[in-house]
Amino acid sequence: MTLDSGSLAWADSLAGSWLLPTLVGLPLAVALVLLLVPRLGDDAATRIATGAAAVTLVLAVLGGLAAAPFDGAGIAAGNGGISVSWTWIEALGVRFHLGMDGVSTPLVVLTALLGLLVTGHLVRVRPEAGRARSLAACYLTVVGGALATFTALDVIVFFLAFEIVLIPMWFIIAVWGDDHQPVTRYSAGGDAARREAANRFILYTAVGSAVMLLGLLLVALRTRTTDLVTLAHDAGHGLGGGVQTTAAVLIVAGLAVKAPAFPLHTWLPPAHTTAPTGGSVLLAGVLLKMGTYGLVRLAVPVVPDGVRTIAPVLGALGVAGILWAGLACFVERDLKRLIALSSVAHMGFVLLGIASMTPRGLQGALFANVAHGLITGLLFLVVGGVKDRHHSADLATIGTGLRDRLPRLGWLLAFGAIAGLGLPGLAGFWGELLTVIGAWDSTALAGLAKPLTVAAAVGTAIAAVYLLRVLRLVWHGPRPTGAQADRFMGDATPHEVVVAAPLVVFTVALGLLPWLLLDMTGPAVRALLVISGGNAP
Amino acid sequence: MTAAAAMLTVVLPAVAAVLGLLLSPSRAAARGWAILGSLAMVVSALVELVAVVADGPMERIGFLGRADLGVGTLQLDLRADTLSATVAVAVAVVAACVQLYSTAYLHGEGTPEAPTRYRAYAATVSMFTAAMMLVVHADDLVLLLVGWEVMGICSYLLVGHHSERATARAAAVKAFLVTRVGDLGVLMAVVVLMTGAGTTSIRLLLQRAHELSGPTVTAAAVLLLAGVAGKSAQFPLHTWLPDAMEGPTPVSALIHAATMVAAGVYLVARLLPLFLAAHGALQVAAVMASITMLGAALAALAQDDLKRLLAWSTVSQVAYMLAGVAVAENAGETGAGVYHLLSHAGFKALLFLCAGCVTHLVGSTLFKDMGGMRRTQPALMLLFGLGLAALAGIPPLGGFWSKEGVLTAAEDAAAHGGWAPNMVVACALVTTLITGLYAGRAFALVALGAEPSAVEADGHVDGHADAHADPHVLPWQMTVPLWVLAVPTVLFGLVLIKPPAVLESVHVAPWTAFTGSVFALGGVGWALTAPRLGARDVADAMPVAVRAFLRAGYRLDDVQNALVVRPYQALARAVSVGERDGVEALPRGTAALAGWAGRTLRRAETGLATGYLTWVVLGAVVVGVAGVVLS
Repeated sequence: MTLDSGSLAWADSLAGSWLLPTLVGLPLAVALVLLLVPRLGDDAATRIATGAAAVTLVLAVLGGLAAAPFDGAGIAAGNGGISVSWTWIEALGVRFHLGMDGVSTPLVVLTALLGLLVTGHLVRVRPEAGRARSLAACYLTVVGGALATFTALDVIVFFLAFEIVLIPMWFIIAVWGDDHQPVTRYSAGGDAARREAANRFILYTAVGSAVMLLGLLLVALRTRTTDLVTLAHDAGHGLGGGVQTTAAVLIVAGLAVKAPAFPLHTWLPPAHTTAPTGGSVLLAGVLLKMGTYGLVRLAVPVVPDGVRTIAPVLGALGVAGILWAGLACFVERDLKRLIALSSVAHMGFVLLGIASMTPRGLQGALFANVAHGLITGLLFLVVGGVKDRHHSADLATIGTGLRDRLPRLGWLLAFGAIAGLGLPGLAGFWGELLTVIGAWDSTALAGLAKPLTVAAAVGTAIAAVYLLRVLRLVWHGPRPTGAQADRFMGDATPHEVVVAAPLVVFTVALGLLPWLLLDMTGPAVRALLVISGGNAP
Repeated sequence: MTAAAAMLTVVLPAVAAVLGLLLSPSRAAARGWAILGSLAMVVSALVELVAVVADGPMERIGFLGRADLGVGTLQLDLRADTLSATVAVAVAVVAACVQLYSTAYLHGEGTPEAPTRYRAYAATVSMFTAAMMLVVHADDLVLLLVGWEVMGICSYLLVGHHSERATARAAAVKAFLVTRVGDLGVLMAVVVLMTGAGTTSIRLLLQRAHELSGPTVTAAAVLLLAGVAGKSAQFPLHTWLPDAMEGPTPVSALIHAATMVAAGVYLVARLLPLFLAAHGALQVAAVMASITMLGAALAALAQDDLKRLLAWSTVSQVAYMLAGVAVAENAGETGAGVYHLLSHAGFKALLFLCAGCVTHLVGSTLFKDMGGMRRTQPALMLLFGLGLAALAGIPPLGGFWSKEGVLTAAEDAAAHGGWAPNMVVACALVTTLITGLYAGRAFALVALGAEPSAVEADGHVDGHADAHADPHVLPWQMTVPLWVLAVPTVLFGLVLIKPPAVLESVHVAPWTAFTGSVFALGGVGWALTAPRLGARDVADAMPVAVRAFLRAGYRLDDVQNALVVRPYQALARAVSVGERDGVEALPRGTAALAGWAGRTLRRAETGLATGYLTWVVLGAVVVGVAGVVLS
């Protein structure tokens, strides 16, 4: 085992040697234990999983502290942050290389936090299909895989981690998914709809991964390395324009499925709608982030000229997603599906920010990434609670007057909606603001820069239209009369409030103190773009 | 001292809001936080004013830190000068009056169908005030935008407070969306300034206003005006304000007097050097203000509802303020507009709170249910009359001085040439007459005449008037704020004896004051004498069709529906169909193709050994031939 942490402080190197492997390994190991010990009851299993997730969160925060301060240029430039690198497949030159810098730390902490919340949620709120032990194991596997993805500094390690996540997520949707889906013109509803949602999720993302792998292999074969630090340092030097463009198209297309970019987003609404509450939270808060993180880590620094070439297309697809999904949300009747579609709009901002290839745009993209994880995670938690009580997420079935009937749940929903429409002062705002600022004077977007910026700004108003429609239909309004009124329904339990509270607190904190995140990612973003010859400050 | 006071002025109401929502087990606790928070805010705003006058302005008060944007930084600082401090005092006083008044106005718990929701209400009012204070004190345009939009969402919550009513829900959504459309302008202005000028710091922008490139500054100024039109309810984005009357009446006092609608004018006053550097921006503002002041005054004249009349009068009066700023010729001349803003804050809050008392007493906001209150409620009608007289600009009330200040500023500017100030003078004079007319009309309909027979007080207006023992007695919590607000309404002219720095440019020319008051008195007199001439209502003189047209606000809502709302709905439906039948066809098509391919290719799998052998031989032949040909 060799240790090549670039840091000087002994604490950093010590931390680097055990912290990152433990961070990634702990949730995976505990998941394995949960699966292999069948005598473990659901109560014990969910508590063990929650404990493991809590330790993981502590480790993630410790990792962040060890990687701080983020004033170095980040791993892309070979300094700053913590890392560990073990020999792995010597014949291929693949090393087990993990690290945390300003780009990965926010996502690592977010993933660990959401992992704790979904496992903690499971302690009291059990799925209809039972088998909470296996579900907890699936959650932990997703978290472990995602943590590995966000810390991987080797292309092959990244790809494997990226794939690990798919399998448990398929189980989460296919086994614990909602089988009360209505029959529609194109779907048989019920169990068939559930299986279709799971299959579509796995087929879409697996095809995306395959395409991405082709691009990664192309780069690896041409550069003769799979190490992301080296690749970022070389910044595409030695790769011809044609190779860069081809690799960029393949990598970006593959990751765009996951992000998701319009029109490759159609796996997302059924998957989110069908998945159990915790699954939806992880899908929105963690899985989508893997796509955009991949763009920032794998595409932008590795084949910068290629990304620059296809930036107008990527930006246009991002904005198309903002407008298209925003409009579709306005007539959507299923609340869970609506939140899922709104994710497409929110991730459109992230894609636009990345496509701008400017420091501000990238800052905005990374901020919006985290903000979306918090806000949409909260919305899925709340909507899950609403759905559990009404046995439906249909806006008409839920009925009016939530603010009077279920005040705590109602206010959480209102808060989530208000945060979702990008209200300044809450986390959603800064990502959108910086994205449009970055896109406005982007040279990569060329002639499309101004029109795309204006369209994206209009998208912020569209978000207000559909989210206020939701509040008007279910939060406002008189108490329903008739059958719905007679059914007893408890408001959010203290347990549910505790699970949602961190998301509310962080949404407010990041909204008022954006530098908490921006100062972390700033130097790394500059390093990514300056090295790749981007718009230097 | 200044720094701490400014910061507390912003933070205290926000803290009161959070504590009121999270830490108030009972209604009394919620009331306590609201009152305590607003009183503390009044004190800190007064301290700030004293400190600023004594020590001079402070331009950089560290508040929320600085953020690394990748390129450049964002400095989330506050500032305190006489402009922010005087407006802060007005905001604080009005907000405190509104909070006290509301404790009685939103009385009891209400019914299950129409709960009072006092706790959420009081906290939202506190948050609303905090947001306005942030707008007033922000030293960065982005920080200002934070307060600006938080105020928007609070207005959404307050206008829709009685959310069991469909009209309230619709009005709330309309208020937020119309202002949000205007706010896109502010967002884009931030984008333009950040990229063009490299900063959104108000301090730096004011320093460098004349150095910035022409396109940048012009684009930014015009875009900001869109936001101003939305927040300050100026044509063509004013349509939300009359509908916002669905909110509880004290909320109207808050939105119309010192917050929200004043924010737009404040923004122009704050960034006046930027607007002066932009060619044409202030002319645009002047045109907008002229159209709005006259049009809204005419609409006010035709209303059948006391609150809607007052709402349209707000639109018109805010246009006066905007005109007062728009005719400025150099950076120091914000005085006239700001002076009218401050004096309007006093008398408009008084008028709305009086209207709330009237509503409380008669159980309706319609003029047809009112009348003769001069005899039954003499004190209330005295206060109401004072407010209306100040609105009309009758000397020597506060409203007189501030209105004549605006007129004088416009006439001074007109003397230096330019079509815009002349237009403002002409429109303002006509508006003065109409303002007198509708102010007099409101007094005639509410205070004079006979009491309407058989008032059907349905008791559900604002959902509050149900639990009072005697609806004909006003609780002290509702009368004390009236007397407090009557003081500035009457005496605000005295400020001009020794004005703070921001108001130093205000002066009132005697001849202007004379013509102005003649117009105002003429209007009031006309309206008051109408009943003696036989007609109860001076507006009856209008042709019926014209009156209906004006009452409906020129039917701009219909235009808005036809041009924006319905096309948007149609587009959304089309996109939804496109998503289901178009984009979703991609995976369905792929699946169908795969299935078809599988079924087709399976036909080759016959299960007969001879068949497979044929394929093997055939394959060998093809490979062999290919090998020969290609080598």
